[in-house]
Amino acid sequence: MSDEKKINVSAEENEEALVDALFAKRISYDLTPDNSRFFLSEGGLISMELSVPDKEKEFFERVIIIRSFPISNPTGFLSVRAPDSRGSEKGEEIGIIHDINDFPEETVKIISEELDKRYFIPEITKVHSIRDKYGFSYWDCDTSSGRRTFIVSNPYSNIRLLDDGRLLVEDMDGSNFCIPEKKKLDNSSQRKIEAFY
Amino acid sequence: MLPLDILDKNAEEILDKHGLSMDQIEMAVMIDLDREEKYSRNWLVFSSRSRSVYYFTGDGAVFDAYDVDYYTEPLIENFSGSVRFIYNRHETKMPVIPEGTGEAEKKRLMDEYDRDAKSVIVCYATNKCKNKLNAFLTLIDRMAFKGETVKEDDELFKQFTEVCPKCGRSYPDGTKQCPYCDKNKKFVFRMFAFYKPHKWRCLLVLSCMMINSFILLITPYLQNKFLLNEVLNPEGGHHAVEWVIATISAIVGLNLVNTFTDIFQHRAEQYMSCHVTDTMRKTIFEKVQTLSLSFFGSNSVGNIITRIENDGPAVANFFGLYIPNTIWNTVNLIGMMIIVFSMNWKLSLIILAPVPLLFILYRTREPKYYKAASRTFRARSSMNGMVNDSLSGIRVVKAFAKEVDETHRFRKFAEKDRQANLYQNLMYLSFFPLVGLLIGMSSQVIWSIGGAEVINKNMSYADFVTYFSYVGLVFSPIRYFTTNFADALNHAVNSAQRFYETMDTKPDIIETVDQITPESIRGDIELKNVNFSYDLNRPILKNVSMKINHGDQIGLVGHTGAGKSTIANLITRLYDPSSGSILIDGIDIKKINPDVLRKNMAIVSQEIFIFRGTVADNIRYARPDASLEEVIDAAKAANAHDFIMAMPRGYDTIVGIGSSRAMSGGEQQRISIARAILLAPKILILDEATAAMDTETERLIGKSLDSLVEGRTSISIAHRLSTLKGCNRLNVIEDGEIVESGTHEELIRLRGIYYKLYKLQSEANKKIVVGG
Ligand SMILES: Nc1ncnc2c1ncn2[C@@H]1O[C@H](COP(=O)(O)OP(=O)(O)OP(=O)(O)O)[C@@H](O)[C@H]1O
Ligand SMILES: [Mg+2]
Repeated sequence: MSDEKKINVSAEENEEALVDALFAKRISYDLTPDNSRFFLSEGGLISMELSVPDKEKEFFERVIIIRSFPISNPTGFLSVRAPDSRGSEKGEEIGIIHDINDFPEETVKIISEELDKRYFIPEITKVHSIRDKYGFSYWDCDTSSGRRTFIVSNPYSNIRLLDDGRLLVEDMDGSNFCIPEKKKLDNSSQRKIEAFY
Repeated sequence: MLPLDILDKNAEEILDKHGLSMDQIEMAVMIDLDREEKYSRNWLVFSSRSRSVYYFTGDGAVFDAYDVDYYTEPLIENFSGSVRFIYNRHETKMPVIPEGTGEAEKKRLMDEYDRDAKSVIVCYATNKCKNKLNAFLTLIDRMAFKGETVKEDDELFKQFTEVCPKCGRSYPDGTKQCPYCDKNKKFVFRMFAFYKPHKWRCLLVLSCMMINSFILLITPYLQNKFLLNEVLNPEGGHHAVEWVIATISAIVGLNLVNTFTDIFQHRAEQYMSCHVTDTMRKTIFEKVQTLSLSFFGSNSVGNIITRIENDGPAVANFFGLYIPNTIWNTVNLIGMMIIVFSMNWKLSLIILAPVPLLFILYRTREPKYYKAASRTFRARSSMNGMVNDSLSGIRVVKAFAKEVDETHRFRKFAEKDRQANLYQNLMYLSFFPLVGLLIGMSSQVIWSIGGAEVINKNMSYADFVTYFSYVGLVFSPIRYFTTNFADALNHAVNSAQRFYETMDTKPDIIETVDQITPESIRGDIELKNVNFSYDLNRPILKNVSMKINHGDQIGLVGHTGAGKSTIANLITRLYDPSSGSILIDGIDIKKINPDVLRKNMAIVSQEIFIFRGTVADNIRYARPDASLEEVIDAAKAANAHDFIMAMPRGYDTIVGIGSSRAMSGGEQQRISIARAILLAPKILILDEATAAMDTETERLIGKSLDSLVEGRTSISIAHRLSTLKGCNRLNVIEDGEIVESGTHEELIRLRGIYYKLYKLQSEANKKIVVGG
């Protein structure tokens, strides 16, 4: 009798442990130079070591770093995530870096480079031509990534002037280009984009 | 080689240098970014003989090989505007898992294998290459691991070979629009189509104008030259009182005719202008209705309202009022030029002097005009958008006591609108006096030279006065062309561009030519490898496949944001999948006549919308011809009858935004369930249809729904698992994939996500019991 009861209890405990395991979720830490180290992996990606007091050191071969405010605060509140096994891109958050500039120079360099690649928005440095043909706008520009021609559909909706004076252009493929400051362009380029300001 | 991208000479040479001949290469993709994310031509090729992927840069500086047995789990990371392709490198080949290994053991072995893997970057590419890159990886999987032989006419290549039927050029990626053919007709010609129904009125306007023009040209002659020189002058041939009366009567007569033709002309113009404005507005509204939801995603409501409200009229005005004016002014200008030049060509040259100057002035101002016009549009449409937003969300505004802040926000938008408007008008106004000055100066010059001529007796006084009255008239068209007309033209071109931008937008949901109109629909649904994303940078559904037989009751569960409603959106064809297909009764949904689809399918959507109108009209929305009896039956089935009867005017109560009668969340849901029931569809989709109701009401509705869904296919989406009790199959969606599928018992046994949800809900219930 008592034996049977014992078994039942342990089954229930098992069950509970299972449920707990199901609901287990990572705690997201405030990442500081004290508890986290970042380095470039062999494959060119960002690896990370997390050492939180009272916890085993954790190593992540590949972490994903995402900006919380890509436009209004590109260097702050970076979410560092561990991709889950299915290769999903979201993953779980390991922690948040409040300001990347608190980290050593080397870390700042590799993370900034990674972020620049993730948020790939070439800057337009010279406008060679913009041709409008009823609804489509054909751009030929020099950008920070080289010369590029692209097509913008619905220029009225896909060319946006942000509040801080940046001009954001989204082309048909969903790639973005930006002009940080009109004044910095040469005169002939300025004249061509005049109408969007 | 398979038809993805074709290697160029340069790439072939590089491959050759590394000992790879062309017949070993199965396929290639051009990668348009290098590893520093600079634009360049780089290549990714696959050879099945060496079972390897090669990446090399166009300059040959980088040449990397990836053996697909060691480099596994290809992943395409979606960045904003670009993608990164990474592989996992293993030291060993994938372990061969013997037949009959248990699931847990299998997982353990794979985890162990994965542990030592290192991620490596293969390449970066822009979104342009993304589809081909995806196809490349799919093909490697099929050729190297599934042992298939892929032919050149494989289904997969269809998406790349679709071409514009007119010019044969392939469409730009991700669109079905041909930028070369679709919109090269000048809008001016397209505008005239709107005037076709009014051609007799156009003719009337034109003839009135001709008469007016003639009168205008002849009057100075009668008034000045004839009256002064011939009648009043004692030496003239008609020096008699009768002639005075005759001339004056002629002038009065002409004036009378002029007045009447003027009235006719303006009435006809106004009539046309109002009609065309109306037609254009209707056309654009009709067009907007046909556009896909993605259009509404990228254009704010304010923007659309402004397009409908302002752009049509602006263009119609230009054509209705300015084109006639322009013709009139042109005729006058030519007529008067001929007259003044024949009277005194030397003096007349002075008239032409300011023209080039005016032209240059105009050209330099033109871009500014244009810019001012588009800025006015933007300011106006963001203001409209803000008003729309604020009023639609008035409940939230009030709940957070944000009335004052909203007013401030509105002030900012209104201020911008004012500035833009003022800027546009002032620019035009400051140009106007400048034109006046130039014209004034040249007429003064004519005065002085002409005056000297009269004194020197080279010209008679009467001739001079006549001449000068013509000169005065010549300047009026010139003034017109450089001011009013220029302004209106810029305004109209600006508006017309937007008008045609909307008109030329193609819905993403394109009706195919070979449409099928089935008599009836049985209700079998099949999703085959469906992929979908709302915006290009973020895939939502990944390879979703499921099969639903008619009469099945399917439940979809999963975390919020998993993609359940998205599946419902695709089945109801609010969007089309980006790849894969959806079949209904075995027919591709794209081929089924949309009317048949709409009649046989109803969705009670998570986002309920009650239109402004009576309760009855809201229930009858999908079937306006339903009888009152049917309306009541439907309401009863949705358990809505009783609360409707409690409303002051029963089924005639006006509800919806802006009415005094608001309904509770659950009441709104019941109205929309009644809406669906009334349609008696073969396929019923309930997306959280009863989420806002108490459990008892939910039960009651569940019962009537059960009788409704009998013999119908139903898909229910719910978080509350008790809602799904009647379902004979449940699919668990996680992150855009179906991860579990089966009956309630099967899923519980699986101890996966469903089990977790189930546990959570029953735990919560238990807690309540214990706590109470
Ligand atoms: N119109 C849209 N444009 C862009 N993204 C969208 C759009 N609609 C939904 N999404 C995104 O697609 C994902 C799936 O949304 P979906 O509405 O299908 O979720 P769901 O499973 O129905 O969630 P819930 O249980 O909360 O209703 C979400 O992450 C959402 O942010
Ligand atoms: Mg939903």
